[in-house]
Amino acid sequence: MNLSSKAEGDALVVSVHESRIDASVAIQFKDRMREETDTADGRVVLNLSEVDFIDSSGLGAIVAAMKQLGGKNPLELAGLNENVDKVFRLTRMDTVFRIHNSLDDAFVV
Amino acid sequence: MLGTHPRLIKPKADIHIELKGTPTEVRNALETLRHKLTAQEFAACNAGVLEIVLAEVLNNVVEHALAGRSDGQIVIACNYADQCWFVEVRDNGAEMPDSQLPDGTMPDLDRDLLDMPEGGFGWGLVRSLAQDIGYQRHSTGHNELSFRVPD
Repeated sequence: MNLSSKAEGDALVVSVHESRIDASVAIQFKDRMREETDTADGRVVLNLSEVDFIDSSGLGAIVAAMKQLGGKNPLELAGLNENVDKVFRLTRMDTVFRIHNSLDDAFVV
Repeated sequence: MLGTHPRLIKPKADIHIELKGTPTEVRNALETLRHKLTAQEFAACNAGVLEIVLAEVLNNVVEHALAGRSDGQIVIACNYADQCWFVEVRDNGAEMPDSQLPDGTMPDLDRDLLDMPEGGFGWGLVRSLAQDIGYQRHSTGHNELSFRVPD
């Protein structure tokens, strides 16, 4: 599970360099998120622009990552493609996460 | 193999995929599906919705019907007609509880952020996106799920 992170402005941006977040990698995703965000101090923006597909297990892993960050470091999402966005909308998880159209949009004041 | 029952999925289905019941095989099957869906004859089809539905159906088979089994086998057939995908999925796993399909109620999100559900969305997604969902348990010990996904 290839993730990278870098501090940008007021946020830590975590980018997922994988085409899928699904049941076969959900646990690794959660573990890698914990490693990449253990020094987070403020909001974390998860950049999903390279992700083509997510299933409900992948969605659950993102929810778990949000919960392990706790209330102090909100997890926001950016760069959802049409199918990924559909999964968030149908499950109404789009009402739980702040979702930015693009990574750039996450930094528009 | 799954293959001796008279109701066996037609081998001449537009898309026919066989897999073992593991998460990695599910991923590979969905990648194969996507590859086939981008082939010329289906290039105009909406592959995304079909992929979401099949992912949830297959994950459920692997996590529930085939839980704890190492001999799980799944067969998928998809036929395209009238702007619609007609899909059948067979597996050799355990019967659905009470022979009933899950009702697919989405988990309640009206709760604290740190209590948000991490699962339970699969059948809600299937019921949101697929139509005419049918389930049969066969005396051969197979489950057969059928549904339609409008293109």
